[in-house]
Amino acid sequence: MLILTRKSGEVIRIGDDVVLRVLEVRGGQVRLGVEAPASVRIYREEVYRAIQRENAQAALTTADPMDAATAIWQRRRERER
Amino acid sequence: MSGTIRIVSPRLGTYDVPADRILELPDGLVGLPDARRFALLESNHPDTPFRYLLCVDLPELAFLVCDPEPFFPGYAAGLPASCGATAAEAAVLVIVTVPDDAGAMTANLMAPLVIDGANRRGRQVIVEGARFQTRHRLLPD
Repeated sequence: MLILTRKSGEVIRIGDDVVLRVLEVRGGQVRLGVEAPASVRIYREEVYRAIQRENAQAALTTADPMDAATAIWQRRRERER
Repeated sequence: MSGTIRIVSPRLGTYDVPADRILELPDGLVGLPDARRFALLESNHPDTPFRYLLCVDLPELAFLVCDPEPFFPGYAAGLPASCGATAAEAAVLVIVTVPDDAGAMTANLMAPLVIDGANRRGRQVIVEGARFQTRHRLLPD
């Protein structure tokens, strides 16, 4: 891993298009500003991981849940009528 | 595009899908960058809100999806304008997770699929902020 030391206001440039700016360092927190093309998706790591995990959980594995999900939805709808 | 694309799914069987019906997500799904082309398939049930989303590139990959509107009215309209969900021909789908207790199934409102109906291209958007989570009960108790 490349490790760089930067002060508040200083910048790291990644390739030609991405600029990472240290805006503020206070206590145990760092505020970062990221400038990047719209095609570059930028997420907090924990958010990305949560979506990745949920996609994996939602992927159909052995059983096809269509019948069970539909049956429960239909029952619920009948009850609400 | 013309012709059909054959998808052999180990879970759902074999489908021949017209090539011009394929949905394209150029960035793939989050965490699954190679899952870029999908077919949206109706089930055999005449009366269900759910459809299958079957991956063309990884045929073993399939999801249950639904239109969020009947379950979460106003959801799509309330998404940030930047994700394109409010465009004229946009379609929004949410991925459904069905646990063993199917009644507890949830929808991932934090990462909907937003598709441009005009060119059938889209992406899995991540909606940051506290409003939406990855698991919202579709059928609350």
